Amino acid sequence: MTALDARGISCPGPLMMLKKAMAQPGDITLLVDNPGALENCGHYAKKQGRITEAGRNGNDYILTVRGAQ
Amino acid sequence: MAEKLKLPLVGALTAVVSLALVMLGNPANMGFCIACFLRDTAGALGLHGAAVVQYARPEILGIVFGALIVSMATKEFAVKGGSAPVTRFVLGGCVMIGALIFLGCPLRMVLRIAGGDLNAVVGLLGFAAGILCGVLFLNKGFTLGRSHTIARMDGFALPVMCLLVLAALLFAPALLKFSESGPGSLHAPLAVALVAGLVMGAVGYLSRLCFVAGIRDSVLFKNFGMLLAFASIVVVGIIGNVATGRFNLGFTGQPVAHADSLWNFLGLFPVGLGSVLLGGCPFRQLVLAGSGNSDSAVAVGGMVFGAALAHNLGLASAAAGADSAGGPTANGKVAFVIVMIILLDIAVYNTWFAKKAKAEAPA
Repeated sequence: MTALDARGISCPGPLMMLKKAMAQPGDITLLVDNPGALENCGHYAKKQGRITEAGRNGNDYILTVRGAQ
Repeated sequence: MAEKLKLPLVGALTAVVSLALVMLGNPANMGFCIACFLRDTAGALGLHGAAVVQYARPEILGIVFGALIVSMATKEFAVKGGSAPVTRFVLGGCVMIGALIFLGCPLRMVLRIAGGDLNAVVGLLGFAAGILCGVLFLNKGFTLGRSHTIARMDGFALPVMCLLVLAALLFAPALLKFSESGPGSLHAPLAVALVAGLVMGAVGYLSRLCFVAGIRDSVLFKNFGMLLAFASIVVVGIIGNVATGRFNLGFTGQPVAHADSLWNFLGLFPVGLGSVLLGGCPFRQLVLAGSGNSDSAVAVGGMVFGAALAHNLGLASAAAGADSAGGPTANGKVAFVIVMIILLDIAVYNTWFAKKAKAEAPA
């Protein structure tokens, strides 16, 4: 399980972090602090065929991306 | 399906709202121009003395208010800042100077293309080249560092400043300057412009419309959604311009533009590069600023400063007119070189040299 903290990082930083992590096997959790990044990253992961779950985490947002099946 | 339609519909709406503003008085091919409008507003406040471009544009105020209102309604308004703010101020200034050499921000570039202005197609090439240069730095790890949650009042500062400008427009216009000729004298009625800005601020916030994201995300992630929005602005814009007799295909005789191809290309290069380093185009910076992003508000401040400098120091290009071809000024060309040195310096430092300091800093 890779835990990424992309809070406070300017666009397209969070997605770049996610893309890099998705090249490795295993599940990923991505912490972001704005809904735009959450949506962007979730959309990208789904397009790559991954299962995702999105939700709030206090004032932040968390995206879980399941490893490649 | 709904997801795929969203951005093209946003593009179509942008084209329609822009055309409506032009039909109601805005300069041709300038339903919106974040660079020109921030510059005009700076002029209205007396920050520069170029008499033909002084008018407090309600569109700018509306975009900020629209983003504020929608982000508060969705409970997403969040005040963050502290990511190299002075660097961002400088980046904003550089982006503005480049835009005023070309005579338009990326949004106006797209609207000019929809008007048949082929100089804007040349500009698009320079814009794309600048974005690709920015992507090179992103791939090597460029970052201005994290922003953090900061005092909530900070996120209201820009909207309150916009409210004061609106109050001046409505109740104390004698405080402001109003161009009597030139592009600053051409404007849609205040209420219409304000509502148009509100709509674009709201839609821009919800759709994350951004004019660097199109090319940047296509290259980085093969995500072509934003490019569809641009294509939609161009297609719907062309249809509207043709239908209203405003389509003029060519390089010469274009409104508030010049036909110096080299400088149309070069002018938008720093706009592309600077916008990638900022994390969004000028329109996106304005929307982010309205939704509480303090770093974007600082970037907008830098743009206003850059606009004032551009006209006080003679950096902005001249538009072609009946008796002159217009084009860049000598000072503008020197400014371009200085802006490029600054941008590359910021890019290189924050890609390869800043990491050690940031890694050692407390989280």
